Amino acid sequence: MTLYRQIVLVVVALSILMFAGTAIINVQDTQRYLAAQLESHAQDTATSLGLSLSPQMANNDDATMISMVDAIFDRGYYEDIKLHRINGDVIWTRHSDVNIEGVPAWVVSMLKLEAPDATSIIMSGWQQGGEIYVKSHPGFAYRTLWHTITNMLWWFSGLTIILLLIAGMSVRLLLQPLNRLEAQALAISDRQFEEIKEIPRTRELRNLIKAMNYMTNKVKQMFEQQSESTERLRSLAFQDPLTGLQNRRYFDAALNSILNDTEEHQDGALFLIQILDLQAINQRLGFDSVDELLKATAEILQTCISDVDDTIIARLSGGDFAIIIERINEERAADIAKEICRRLMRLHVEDMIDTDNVCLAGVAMYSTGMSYGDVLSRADSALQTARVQGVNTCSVYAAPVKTNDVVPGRQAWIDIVQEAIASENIILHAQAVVNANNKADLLHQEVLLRLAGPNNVVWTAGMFLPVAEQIGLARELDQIVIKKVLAEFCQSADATNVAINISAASLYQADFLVWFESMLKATGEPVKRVVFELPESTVVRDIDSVHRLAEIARRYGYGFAVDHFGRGMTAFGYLKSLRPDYVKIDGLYMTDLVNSPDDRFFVGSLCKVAHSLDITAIAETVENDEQLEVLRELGVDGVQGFGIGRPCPL
Amino acid sequence: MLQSIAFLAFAETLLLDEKILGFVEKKHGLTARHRLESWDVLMRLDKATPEGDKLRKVNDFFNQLRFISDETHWKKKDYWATPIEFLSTNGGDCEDFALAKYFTLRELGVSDKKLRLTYVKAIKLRQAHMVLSYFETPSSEPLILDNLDAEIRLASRRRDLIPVYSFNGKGLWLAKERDQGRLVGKSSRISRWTDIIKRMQSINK
Repeated sequence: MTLYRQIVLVVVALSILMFAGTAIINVQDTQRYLAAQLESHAQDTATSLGLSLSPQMANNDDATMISMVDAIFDRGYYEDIKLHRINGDVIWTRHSDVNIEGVPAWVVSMLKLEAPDATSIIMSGWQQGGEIYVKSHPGFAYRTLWHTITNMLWWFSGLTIILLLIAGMSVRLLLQPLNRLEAQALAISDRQFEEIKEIPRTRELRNLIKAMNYMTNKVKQMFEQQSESTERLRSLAFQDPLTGLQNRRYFDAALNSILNDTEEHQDGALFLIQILDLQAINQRLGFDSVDELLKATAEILQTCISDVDDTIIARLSGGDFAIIIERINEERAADIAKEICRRLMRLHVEDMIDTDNVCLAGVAMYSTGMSYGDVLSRADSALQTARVQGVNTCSVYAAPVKTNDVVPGRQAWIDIVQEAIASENIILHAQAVVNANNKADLLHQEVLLRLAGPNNVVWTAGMFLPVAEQIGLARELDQIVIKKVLAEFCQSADATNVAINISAASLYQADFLVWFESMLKATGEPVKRVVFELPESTVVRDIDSVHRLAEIARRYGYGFAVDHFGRGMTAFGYLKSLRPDYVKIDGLYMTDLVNSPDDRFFVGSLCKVAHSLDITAIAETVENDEQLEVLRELGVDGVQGFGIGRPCPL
Repeated sequence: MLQSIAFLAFAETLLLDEKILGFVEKKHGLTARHRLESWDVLMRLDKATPEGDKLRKVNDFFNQLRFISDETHWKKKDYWATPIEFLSTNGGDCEDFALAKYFTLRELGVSDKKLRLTYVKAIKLRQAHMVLSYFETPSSEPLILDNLDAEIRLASRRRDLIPVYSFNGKGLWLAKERDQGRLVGKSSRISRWTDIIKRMQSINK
């Protein structure tokens, strides 16, 4: 029972007790008063009858006496009137039954009203001629008593209701701080740290609220420290301290991870940019100038790719920089490389460098099936080609032409995608995500899009998605996947929890969310959990649209999650407001996980950040049991990857 | 039960002690004290004395006192004095005589059934008057104890009086006593009878 109810109950019980006491006293008083009234009524009648009958008694006029008694009896409320001579001879007697209408029997039996009798002498001259005996009828008195009781009950009920209202309102008012306290506590468990601004006047409550506010602030600080220390740690491990770009470690892991991902990446460009003769500049101008030069270079590189999604910029060593741009075509990559060279040359004009031999840039396009070493050596070759061309130039190496003619060319891909969209003919595969501590416990399946090729060949998303995005059809593919999963798989008997990817390209189209909402609304809340995943880079780039998408998903009973968690150099602040169902820690930290204490520590920290917000942490691209063992120790909740289960038809 | 309690209370009031006597002496003088002492002697009369004697002695004792109208005596239109007040001040009106005789006779063991306070009209004086009537039996002709006439006479011999109504002292006593006990009824209902009983009780306190 709530405190509120208890207090109100006590107030009501006390008041009922008080009212009941008052009522009993009141009824008793009324009862006594009525009894006295009955008695004096009888006595008055006896006296006046005695007086008026005396002359008739002297005359022995019985007839007149009887008439007078009748007149009095019939006109008033009497139970008995008896008239007898002094020797006891009865002259006349009248009686009416005690018949009390309109009063419940229990009132009559519980509240006895004694109707007292009264006698009076009738004189006959000097002598006593007879006696008159009068008993009042209690009916009227009972009715009066009953009226009093009912009246009182009405008043009592009315007052009780009023009292209840007043007590209820004032207690509620009094206990309001407790409600706020409750809201605050709930907010804390939701990781919202709000102080209660209105401090109540009641001393105990005031202290309680102050203590709670203090605690809230402490918890908030703890949370922020956790988050900050993880971000700091990541920058130490993966960032170049001078330029703020990623370092070599990160670059290696990221490139590996990208090339191994058959679902999303695969097509793109690797840029190598070299600032020439850094050693000589160092000797000529000093360390400080070199540092300034490197920082300026980093800024220029960032500016040049600021309007491209999914990029990684790293400083590999000395004057060597690298840029990875995913899903970009050769033409655009060449433009960017030229722009970089042009801008770096301007450093000489700006006196950042004392020679106009500033830089070289080599670009290697990469695609499906290429290895880390392949791509890197091709980029290096491109750089050497540029060196031969002359300073401040760039050279672009196209991706090697596949000898395997099963893989279609660009135009063929466009046809395949368009055909698939028109016929809605897609293949859905799924990869299991299981509990890290119990591989048999399936958390959900991530839905993966495939397209059918000739001779039962199945194309993975990484092969056609870049093309689909370039020709603006990624959104259509997303919609077909969502529609199929919701309408077919989720309605089937063997439905499981599923995760569906939404590409950044879909989110950037204004009316996608309108379609999304109407789709979810029409489908209703699914029996199994359906979660929509967005990559961290998209979340950071367009946080408002992502918020809207997450809000729509939640409104209709769907979930929302962040993929590639920890890949970018972003702060984790967005987690607090977005509160995804889970985060999938990016695969780039998995490659070296077993050997690198830094990677392990970092993955552990990412878990802690997620857990501090009650968010489940899942690791992607887990390839073997060694990794799984480490991830378990680090506190990862769920795992996914070839080591757990390869994608298979949904 | 009620009757006996009431009677005890009533009897108590008539027993005189030094406290009352001293108080009366101080206020009204030695003769007043003597009058009360004589009354006390009268009330200690042997209960076995024939009722005729009791009536005569009581009638004679009180008829010695002066008749004074309430207005001159008490400065009130109608005031029922207690026997002690009546004796102490050596005077009273017809009601005081009748009441004093009634209480004294009751004290001497005369049944309440035989005593009636009778309202009468005094023909010669053209006044409302009160006498004490004594009924040997309920139906017998009463003897009249009157302060206007020193002799006790049969009612039929009192042609100067016209009976109006008699009231039953005991019944009235009980009724009023109950009334008083219940503390209800309006103050107007508490008659002079109640008032006098109260005053008789309070004198001992």
